[in-house]
Amino acid sequence: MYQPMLFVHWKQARMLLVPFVLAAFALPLLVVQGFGAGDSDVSQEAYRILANYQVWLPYFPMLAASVGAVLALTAWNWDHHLGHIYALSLPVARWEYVMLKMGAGVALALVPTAAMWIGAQLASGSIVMPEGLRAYPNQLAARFFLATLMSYALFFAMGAGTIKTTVWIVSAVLFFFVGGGLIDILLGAFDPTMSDVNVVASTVSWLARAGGPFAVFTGNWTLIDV
Amino acid sequence: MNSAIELSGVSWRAGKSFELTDVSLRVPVGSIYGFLGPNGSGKTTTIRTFLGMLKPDRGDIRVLGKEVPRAMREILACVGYVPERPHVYPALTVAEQVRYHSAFFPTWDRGWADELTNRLQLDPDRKIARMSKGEAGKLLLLLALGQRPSLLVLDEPTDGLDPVVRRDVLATVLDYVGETQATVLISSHLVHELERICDWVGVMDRGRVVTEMPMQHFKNGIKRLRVVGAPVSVPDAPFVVLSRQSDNGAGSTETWIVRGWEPPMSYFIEGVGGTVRDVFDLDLEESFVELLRSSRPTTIRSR
Amino acid sequence: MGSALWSAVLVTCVAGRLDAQVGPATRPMEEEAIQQLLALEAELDLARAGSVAATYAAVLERVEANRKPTVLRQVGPFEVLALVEQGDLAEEMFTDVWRNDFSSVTGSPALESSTFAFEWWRTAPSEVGWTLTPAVDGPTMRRVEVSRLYVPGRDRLRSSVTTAVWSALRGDFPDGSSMRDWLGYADYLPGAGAYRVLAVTPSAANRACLAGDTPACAAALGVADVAAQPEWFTREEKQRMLGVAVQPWMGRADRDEPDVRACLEENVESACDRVVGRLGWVEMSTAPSSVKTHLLWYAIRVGGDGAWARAVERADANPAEVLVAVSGQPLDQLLRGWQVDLVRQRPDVHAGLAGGGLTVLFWSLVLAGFAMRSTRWRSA
Repeated sequence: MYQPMLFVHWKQARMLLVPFVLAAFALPLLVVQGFGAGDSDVSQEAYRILANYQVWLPYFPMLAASVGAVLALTAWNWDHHLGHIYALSLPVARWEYVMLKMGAGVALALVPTAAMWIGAQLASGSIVMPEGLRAYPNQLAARFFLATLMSYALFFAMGAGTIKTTVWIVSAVLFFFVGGGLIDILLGAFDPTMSDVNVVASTVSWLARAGGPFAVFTGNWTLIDV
Repeated sequence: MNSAIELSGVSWRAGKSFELTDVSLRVPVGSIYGFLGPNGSGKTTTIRTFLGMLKPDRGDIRVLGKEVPRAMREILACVGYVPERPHVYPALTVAEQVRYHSAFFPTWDRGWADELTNRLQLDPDRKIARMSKGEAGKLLLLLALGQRPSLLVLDEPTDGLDPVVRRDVLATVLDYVGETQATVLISSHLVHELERICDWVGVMDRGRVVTEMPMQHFKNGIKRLRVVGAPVSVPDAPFVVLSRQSDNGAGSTETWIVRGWEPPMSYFIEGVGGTVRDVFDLDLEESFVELLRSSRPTTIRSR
Repeated sequence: MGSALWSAVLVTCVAGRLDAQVGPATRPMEEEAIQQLLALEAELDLARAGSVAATYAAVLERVEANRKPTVLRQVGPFEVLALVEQGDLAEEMFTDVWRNDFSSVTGSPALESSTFAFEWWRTAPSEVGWTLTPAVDGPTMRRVEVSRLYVPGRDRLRSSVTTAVWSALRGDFPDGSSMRDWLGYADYLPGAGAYRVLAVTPSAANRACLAGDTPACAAALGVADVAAQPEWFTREEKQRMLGVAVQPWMGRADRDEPDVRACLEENVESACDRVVGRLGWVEMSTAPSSVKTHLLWYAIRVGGDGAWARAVERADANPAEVLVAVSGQPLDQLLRGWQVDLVRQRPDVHAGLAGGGLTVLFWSLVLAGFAMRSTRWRSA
């Protein structure tokens, strides 16, 4: 059942995935563009490579998040349009159907990951690495895959619900940001020692730290590092 | 197991606008059960309930002797379902859709499916999104029959199809039933269509089952009578008066629509002061309409 | 820049303008103007002092209102002051840092006279929240205030404690001493941090050092015989060094000297070599201060008992001599050992990836569970 599920998801997502696959391939190459042999001031090379990388760094997690979202939306798109009647009429346990669908998306996430891995390999091979620095194409591709997976799982879970559920979730998030901000202000007004309490920032920090769901996005995305 | 589908006291509510109320149905094994009702009467909702797509608020459901929803997977593996509207993935071709579908059915008969593809004149390479309504209908039938189901649930299968395709679809279903003795539940608001093929009939209206009986009883049991000197009321009548109307407005001669009529019952009318002048047979559609009219609250059923 | 200096600048400017307008005959007027300006400056200073005093008094008042009970703990040779409820945490953190990073330090006058004020804030630190301030005033008091809000936790806290202890220790080298100049003011970095800093600092000598070239390490760290080192620097680096050396505030080379001009303006590398060969370790050193600190700590570990005291005694000596005295090893051997030690501590920059994979797996399964529980997919 997995193979047909994968095929259907592929058929649905492939055209949308094309630009993302290209971006995943090109991004590592863009990062090292302009570096390599022939630069007169080689002592600056390591610094310049790393400084240049900082400019491109945010695009890696953003790309992973986008790929995950596209995969998740295409996973449910047809079922939503068809009112889920077909899916529900198939003789398969629902948890199994959901897992098959999710598994298909995970496999498809390997396509842009492979593109990024190839791009990263080419990029790291295209420059003379300054002493003390190394290229990490495998680790970069692995992180990209994990971040894509995380984004996919998040949007997949949201996409599995009804519009009503999605509206509830989005409303809850908005309420949290507005309500959290109000709590911070009120705490500061009643107790000066609490004036720097920041519920929203604390929660975001908790979500992004090690063990949190978004930690993979805030981790080290470097292709070239010490 | 006498019933392929058995619903007892099933109720389901969707907001304030619609509900199924105390629905009880019995579809005998091996029957072709016509599920009649006007649009919006609850036929599709009832089907989705016993196929496990909706969770009833109350009541018990058994399909093919198994409890819903506990044995849903086993049940669905033996059910061929053609929904009201095409429900398959539009970007796939016929062959791709068949391949996808067959992966879920352990009993999928590939040879039989190929035969059906030829018989229904479906092009395997044709994209579903580009198919006509008739072709889509045929594809849905192919998907429903391919695993050789023991229960076939067809929800308005011929709605919107041209007569040729409609005939092909029904002929294919009848051939399959003739060969396998499978049970068929076919819902429709096209009464004439069911009259020729069904041996049982159930009628729904406004979320309730109005009646359920063998087709023969349904066809023969509802009559139009012309009664002279009709009594004001017939409280102990052995038949049900679905409606009565004065022929000339003065009230001496009336037309009655009755259910459960047998010829000896004219003596009963004579016994209460009336005379049965004529007895007319109704066709299925007239019977259906009269039955619905009588079931609605504004209709005077008897006086 | 102090107010006196501003006044001097102001006075000079005004005096110059008066000169231009009236010439030498107006000298008494000029002096009068200067006197007026000086009087004005004195008034401004008074007003500023009053304002500062008022502000400080207001802060103290607020601080007093927030004052909480404290506890004093002894860790190694120093004391730690903390809020009562944070006393155990403070002792734990300082003990950990002391044992693992600084226990080889003995005989540090600065550390022995230090008291550390420790406070781990629930919120971001602010002046209103300085509950320890009245108790911690004094020249030997050092604060460790870390917010729990924005930090990943104890790692950051430990790092802050380490920095505080190192800052105290650095006080053993007086301002203006050779060792203080050599070390600079960088924070204490663990080996992985020092490796990273050395690797990314723009310098060919640093690269060569990482590759295992000990003389290059000596050049990068500014502990070598300078005249022998030009080969470790690229022409651009030599030009950068010289560019700094000719600045008026450095005054280490004369911009009008033919070799300097040939190096800077005509890119003649041999001229660069001649000038750079004369420069001292201050200009030659390309390794950042934190890397030099790392070397010093390595030397102290190698040197064993009394190593820190030996360094303090020689605070004014050439750093190379100090390192030899501290470690008890020839400089070459010390640098070789340090280089190996540093490379061994190369950071695993993607260390958390495997753990991150498990985290993603966990959250993905949780979210898949949510997907199954969504209205449509809940078992009917």
